[in-house]
Amino acid sequence: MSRVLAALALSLALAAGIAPKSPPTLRDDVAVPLQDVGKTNKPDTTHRQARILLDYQETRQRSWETKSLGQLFHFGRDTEVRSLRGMIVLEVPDEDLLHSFEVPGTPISAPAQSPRITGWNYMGPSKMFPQGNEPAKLEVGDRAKLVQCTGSAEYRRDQEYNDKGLAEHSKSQWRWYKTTRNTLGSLPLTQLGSNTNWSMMFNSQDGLDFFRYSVLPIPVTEKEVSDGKSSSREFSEDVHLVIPPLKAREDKGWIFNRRMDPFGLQVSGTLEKNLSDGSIVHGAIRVTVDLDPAEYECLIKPPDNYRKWLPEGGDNEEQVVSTLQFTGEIRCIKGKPLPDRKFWIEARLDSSTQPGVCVNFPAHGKKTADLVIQRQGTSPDLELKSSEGKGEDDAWTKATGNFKPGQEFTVAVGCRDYGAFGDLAFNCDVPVRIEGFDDHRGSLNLPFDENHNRIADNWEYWASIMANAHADDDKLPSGNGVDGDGLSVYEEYRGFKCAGVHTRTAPFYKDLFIHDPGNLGCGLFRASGITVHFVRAGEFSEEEGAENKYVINCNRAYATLGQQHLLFVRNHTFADGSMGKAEGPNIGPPKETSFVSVDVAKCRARGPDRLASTLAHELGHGCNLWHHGDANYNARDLMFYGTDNAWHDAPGGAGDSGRVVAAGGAQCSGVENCIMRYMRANFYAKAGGPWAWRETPEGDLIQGELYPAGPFARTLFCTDPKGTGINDAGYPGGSVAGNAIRGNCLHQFQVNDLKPPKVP
Amino acid sequence: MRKPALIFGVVAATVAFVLIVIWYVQHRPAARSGKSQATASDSTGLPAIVQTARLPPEPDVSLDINNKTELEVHQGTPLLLTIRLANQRAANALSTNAAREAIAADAREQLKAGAITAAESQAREAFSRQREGVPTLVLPPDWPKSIHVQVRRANDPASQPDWPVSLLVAPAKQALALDGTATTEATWGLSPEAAALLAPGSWQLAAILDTIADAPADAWRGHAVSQPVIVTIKPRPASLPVAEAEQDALEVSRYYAAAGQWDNSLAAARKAAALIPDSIEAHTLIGDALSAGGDKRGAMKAYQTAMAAFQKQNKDPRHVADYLIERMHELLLTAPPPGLAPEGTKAPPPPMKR
Repeated sequence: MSRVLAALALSLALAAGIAPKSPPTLRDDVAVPLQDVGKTNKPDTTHRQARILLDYQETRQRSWETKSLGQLFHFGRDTEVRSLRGMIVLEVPDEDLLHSFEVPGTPISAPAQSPRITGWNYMGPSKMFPQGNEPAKLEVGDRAKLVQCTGSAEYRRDQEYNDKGLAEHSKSQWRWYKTTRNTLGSLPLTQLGSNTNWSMMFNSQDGLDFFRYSVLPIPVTEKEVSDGKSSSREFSEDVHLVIPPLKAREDKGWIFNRRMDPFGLQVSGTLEKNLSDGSIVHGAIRVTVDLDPAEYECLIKPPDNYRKWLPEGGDNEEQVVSTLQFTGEIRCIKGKPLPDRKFWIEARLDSSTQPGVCVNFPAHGKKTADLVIQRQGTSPDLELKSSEGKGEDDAWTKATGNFKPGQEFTVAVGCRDYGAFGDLAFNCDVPVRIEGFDDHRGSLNLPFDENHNRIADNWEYWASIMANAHADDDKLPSGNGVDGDGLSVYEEYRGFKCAGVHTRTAPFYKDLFIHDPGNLGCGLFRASGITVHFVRAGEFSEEEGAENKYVINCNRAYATLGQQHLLFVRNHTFADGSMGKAEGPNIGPPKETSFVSVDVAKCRARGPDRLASTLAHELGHGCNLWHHGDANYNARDLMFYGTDNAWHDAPGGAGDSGRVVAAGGAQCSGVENCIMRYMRANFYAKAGGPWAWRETPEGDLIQGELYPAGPFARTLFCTDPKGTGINDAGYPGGSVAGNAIRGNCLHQFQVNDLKPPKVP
Repeated sequence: MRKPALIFGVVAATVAFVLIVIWYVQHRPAARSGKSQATASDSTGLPAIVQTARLPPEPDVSLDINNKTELEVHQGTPLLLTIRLANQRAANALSTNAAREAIAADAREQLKAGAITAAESQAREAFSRQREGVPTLVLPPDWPKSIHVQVRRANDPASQPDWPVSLLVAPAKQALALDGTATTEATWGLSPEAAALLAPGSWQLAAILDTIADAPADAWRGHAVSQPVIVTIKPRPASLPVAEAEQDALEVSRYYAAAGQWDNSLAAARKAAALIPDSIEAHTLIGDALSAGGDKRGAMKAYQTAMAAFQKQNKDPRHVADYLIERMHELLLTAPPPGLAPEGTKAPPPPMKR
């Protein structure tokens, strides 16, 4: 059906005496209801609407607006109304009728003096107004509804600005436009501030019932965007403005010159900014306005296992094997939530970047974020950004998005390191509350770590310590009294891959790591009480810095104390008549021993158990153990007493016989079954013995006997230098080698590379 | 009168019930242990000893050739391939568990000495009860039959010839449980004659234990591979430098010793000793071969020669030729010089001349 538009423009000439010379200012909010301006003679009056263009002058702007019949026209305080004029359009199915009016001067000064919009001049078919040509009169209490808002205004303001950051000050004129948009979300913007401050003027409507109108400063940060050929500046901002209650609003200088919806709205739009150099900056702004907002909170629910969760790593630095899923929800805790209101949420995860996945694996591991927000398990509406690959020491992942109240979101944190630690912070437009915590925290430690030592409290509880992460106080076994094993509590907690199995070691028990590619084992070394861990190739590194190149804490980073070495056990053919050696110039903790080498073939030739004791013996040297005493000596001028009651030169005995005498207090002395005791010599001094020799070429002949046959089971590390067994003072015929000079081997152990060794 | 009595009765019953409940809460095992009842298991009130094996057992297979993992030999140099099996995961678990037992014992001692509180002691004991499961692994009987030595040319993995290795030394026990304490080994050999036919070049060898097809039900079934050993075989020149020739002869001697062919071993060792007369190893091998062949005096003499060379060459007093000492001691015990006075003879002081 065709629509007939009757557009008649009339100039209203109201009585000259009505207009005052100086317009007064409103002292209080005033609502000016527009009355029903008339009735159409069309039968379908339900479609009737009024379109009112109002021109009024306030302290800040002029505007033309359209209201529908029945909508309140609200003037705020400090509104200086210069004039009101407008048109009333009656929209009916077949035709639009236009009426214009003008209220010069200031009809509004106080509620009691609310305007009467009178004097309508009507130009149009008289049939529209059954009463004749009289325009409708607007009285206080009349109501009109706003249909839409349209118009434009010029606004002049002296404004200092500096678009290019130059010290340039000028006065300029700014223009803002308010255009008609019939959809919620239109956003005419105006540039009112400096190059970093924009003001926005927005209007919107939702059906026929809402009208929102405000001028707000919007901080906008521009950024340079370059495609390699040219560059431009852009901005994109999400702004959430919570408009305080009316009184506070006025105190803070908010300006609202129209009645706003009690809940608020969200609008967005684009903007072009013309710079003085002729360039244009493009940008987008989304503004959320809460007017008299409802009270909300962002409730975060940690997973049930959060307090007990221990970080875990995988086979490489990228693999995620353990996930914690946090859920969250915006909840309206007071008032009425806005139906379409969305809240901005950010979950920011700051993560450690320890190399590798644990202290020793992979050797020389990469530094990656140990904790990441994963796409899988995180709400699709949350956009992820991360610093991965940017080479930063501390990595972060951010998940941001907008959610309506009641809409649950999830944030899945994946873990890639057994010692991962980080901080998961939630930021939101509304206060964040974390379930289970009453201290108003907005972030959580990962793992749960109330003493902030970056060690999971659950492990500390489990290991029955609450420790300084840097401490190294392992006291068991006591060894030589040097506490520790060169590994800090944090490193023990972060743990080690040992033969492919991850192990968190005990922080009060000393640990020794062994690489044994030949599968020789550690023999009887367990008698030391030290916890032995076998590690495979790839579970340690080679580094310079000590005689021993093999470092177990090769991925050391946070809370490390320095290089701690493993002992490398190997099969080696000794072509010098020996069965094993701790190779290195000094006896000391593991860093002093390049290899623990045993000649398996020779050990096997000496008996089935010999390899086990030789391994333990040499490993003992690698942990600061000394022999029971100094070297034995060779028998010179060896003789024996014959059945003919005469002394004879022993075969091959002249000069240095090459046969060894167990000297008192020397290597064969002390506790008989101590692993560190040399098992055998050839002779020992004993009065009346059938053998004789000299210790030195000029020395006296010493009488003695063949060293006892044994067998000698070396099974332990002694705790006393006092000789036992063949070295006991009560041994028949007297002690073979007597008490040890050193002995007490169990209390010589030191595995800590970082403290000077004690020499027994 | 009736009503107050009724009220009194109800109140008394309620109080009694509450007291019973309080008593029960305080005295139930979980309350004593400070842990949940579900985990309390014994009269100590401590949680049960928990053993968890986090990964299945997996044998560690090692291969060394002539006691090395990288070597250069000439064609004809015999090779001894020693393959050892261990279970390092189980060994680690045993060690961890032993430490935890020690932690518990220490906690009890410290509690007795008043150094720690009962709560601390109990916490440590609870910690000590978290044990590692020991992933014991049962090898199939005659496991060397499940061993395959894979040979590949280093720069051409497709080239995989079969080297005619043969089992020289079988493991001490045919069936064995690798429980973290035991290891087992077997040695395969490639004779000088066979080694002479090997193509020169760089070869990568790996030992593969594969029991998938034929392991009995109770034995480990799987596939495990050793770290590779690199063997570089050089063409044998017409003559070798003395040091290389001595080393070559020593390898031959060791090969035959491992094979129990003592005559061949002796001959090769003598060849080495002839090349380098003060070779400790050559004389040691001579001693071993002679000793094995029953010539104990000859063996003693060889060991003495070796010892003398050791004395001359060794500069570090910490180093001891313990193998030689023990071999000589063994010979002194089993083959004393003829005419030595019997044990228990009280000999007079020797003449002080000389």
